[in-house]
Amino acid sequence: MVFTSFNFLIFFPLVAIVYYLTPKKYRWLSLLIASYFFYINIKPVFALLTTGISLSTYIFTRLIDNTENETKKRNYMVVNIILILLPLFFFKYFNGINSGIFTLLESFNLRWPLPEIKLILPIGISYYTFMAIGYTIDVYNEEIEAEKNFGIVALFISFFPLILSGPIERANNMLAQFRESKLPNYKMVSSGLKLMLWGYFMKLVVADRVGIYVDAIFENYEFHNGTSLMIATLLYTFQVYADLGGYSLIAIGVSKILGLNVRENFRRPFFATSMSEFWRRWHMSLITWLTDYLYTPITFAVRKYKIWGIVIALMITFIISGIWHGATLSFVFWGVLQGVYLSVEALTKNNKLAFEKKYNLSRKYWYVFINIILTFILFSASELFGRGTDMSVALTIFYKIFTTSGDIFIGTSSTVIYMFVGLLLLFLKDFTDEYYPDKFLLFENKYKFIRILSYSTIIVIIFLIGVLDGGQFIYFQF
Amino acid sequence: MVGNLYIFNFNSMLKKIIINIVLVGITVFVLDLLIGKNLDYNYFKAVEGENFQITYAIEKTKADVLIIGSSRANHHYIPKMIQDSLNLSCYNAGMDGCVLLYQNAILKSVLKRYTPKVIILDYIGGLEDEELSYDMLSHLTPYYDTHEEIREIVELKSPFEKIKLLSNIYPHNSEVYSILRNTFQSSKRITDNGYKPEEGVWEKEMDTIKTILPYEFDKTILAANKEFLYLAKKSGAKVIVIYSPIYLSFKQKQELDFMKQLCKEQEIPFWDFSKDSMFLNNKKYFKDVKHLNHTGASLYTNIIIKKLKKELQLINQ
Repeated sequence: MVFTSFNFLIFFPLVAIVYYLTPKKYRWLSLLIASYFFYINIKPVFALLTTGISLSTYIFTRLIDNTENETKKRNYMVVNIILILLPLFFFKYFNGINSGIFTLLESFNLRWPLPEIKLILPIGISYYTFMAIGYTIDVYNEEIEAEKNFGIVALFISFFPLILSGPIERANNMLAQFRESKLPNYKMVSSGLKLMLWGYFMKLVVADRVGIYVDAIFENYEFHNGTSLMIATLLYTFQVYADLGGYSLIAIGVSKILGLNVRENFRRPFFATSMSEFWRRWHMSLITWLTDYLYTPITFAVRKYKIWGIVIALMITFIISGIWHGATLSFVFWGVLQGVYLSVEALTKNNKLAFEKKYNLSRKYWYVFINIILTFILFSASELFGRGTDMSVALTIFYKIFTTSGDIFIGTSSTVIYMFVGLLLLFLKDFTDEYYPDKFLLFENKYKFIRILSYSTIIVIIFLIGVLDGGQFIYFQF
Repeated sequence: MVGNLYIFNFNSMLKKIIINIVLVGITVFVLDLLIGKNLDYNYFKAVEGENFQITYAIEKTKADVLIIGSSRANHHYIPKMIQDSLNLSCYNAGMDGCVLLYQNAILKSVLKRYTPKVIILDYIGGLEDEELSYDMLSHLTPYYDTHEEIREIVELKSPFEKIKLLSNIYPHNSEVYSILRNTFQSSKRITDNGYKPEEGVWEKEMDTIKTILPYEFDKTILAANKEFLYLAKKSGAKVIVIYSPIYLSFKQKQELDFMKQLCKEQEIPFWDFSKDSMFLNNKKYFKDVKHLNHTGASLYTNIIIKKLKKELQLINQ
């Protein structure tokens, strides 16, 4: 049951009604039941895994909390992190490791073909694994007390709006909210509904439509010229933004309607003027998680190397981020690219600032524009390796972009037209939110008539040009 | 006291939210009605294009020879040649990407109005449980209200299709461009009874062998396949199932065996061109691996005409 399915549009209002009607003391329980119902309906066996991780996290965080012995505390934390990571490694990297070994055996003619076992990745495992690890570390660092109610911990791990694709939440934000289970006020419900509506627009009108065009090119990359491949590469970045960004908005909106505040995941990333700024706007819940639990401790550990310590920390953090996305060489390379981009920026930061100050560039529109475009191109180029394709395919596409050219592939003209309508509306919304936050308001207009008409128009646009038979969210695979 | 006030605030908040949702609902309802009815009107007004071809197949054609199938049917059979040679009217109701469920719906609509003399089903397989087979039923949603015989098939799209089809816009989802284009294009294009020629020769590398590994057949599509042959045969028309030429050596034994067996049971001729040496690996006749270009289609239609003549002579004798 994904957010874009009709089932969800029936499921969620029912959950909200039951949640509102449940006595405050048991509201968390109604959400836990709803979350497990949601997850079990995707694949029942996956729920065993979330239960196992919840149980292990509950037991070990209580043990950490109940001991004063630092060594024991540390051991409990390490054991729990290993236990949490085991399923992730097993499910996520099993197939990758297998095919790697098979390739090696084949190269030495030692491969003896027997029936292969392919494992299906439990959906959302990367997200709830990170949430459980974060919670364990927070308890170890005494930033939060271990939760005494197992049900609340299980709810934190399995909370249905977040379990499939995040945002990756933190225990210190969610546990207290689950415990208090406050009902939402008008502002929260209204804002939640608006976020959901725009999230559906981003997913159905933009992401899935761009996906049709991009897939038509990438899935037949051998037959397309460099110009079309370049356009597809640039558009793919928009697709991912609209896909995961749209999903995140729906997740945040759903949570708000239930009276729960969930962290932001995207903040108009394509208006970033540098890669470091880009990563403060793109998949923010992942990057702040990596910063807090990986980058900062590494930077601290290698602080004696000064700026080069930062470079080391950046490289390690983003390579791990690449591996988190998948166990393929192309994902690792994606991580390396991000690390290199950010390291170069870190190393040249002072010179760049001095240069900008000298010529007063940071206030010049053309300079800001060039930086925005450059950042976008750099990230889009890296996304070629972040699509989950083979390294050889990504390299072939990359090579073709620079060596071949020709007419741009159009395919079905209606797809291209709808795609640009969607992209244009998304751009206008992000542009006005970025540069004119108090002007051109539609969803937040002071006149009710305009607000109602805006919501209705977006719904009608979804009916008209949304991909209503669309597929899954891209980030479900991670 | 505080608790009561909180509940009062929550209730008044809910009231406010519900009023706003109702207002949005009414506005959406009005817009949906206005836009949807307008799209519907213009959709059925079309005189060319894909939408027109579907409408023509479902509501208008009275052709003696009816060709049903996917894009391969659409690009492989030239009705004018069949018409001129056999002196029988012919319509090509093949549709890109549409396999057995769609084809079954077309057949049911046609048989409700008349019985063609010859029904040709161009078979490609496609018996797997693929979402696309169901998604392609979107082509039929504009006919849901007016064609009782295809409702059950359209409802296979999703369990909530009936509810979705309460909307006036939904049946025309993603069709707005083609509807507007047909509305504002004044010139009438002469189409060859549904046939769309593929121009050009595929110059780049093409696979020469492709193996389709055995898979579990989708029960619904399987049933639709059986029903198609049963209904077509029962109507009294001469039914012929054809696997038209393909560039690559397509190893799909399971699907071919299934259809051959089915045809045998129903005493329907099955003409298999999948390994025809004239076409196999012969680039000049193909636009891509699965589709003949116009030259290939002309040659192939000629072969079909000869075979049809024999078949029809046998009937007449």
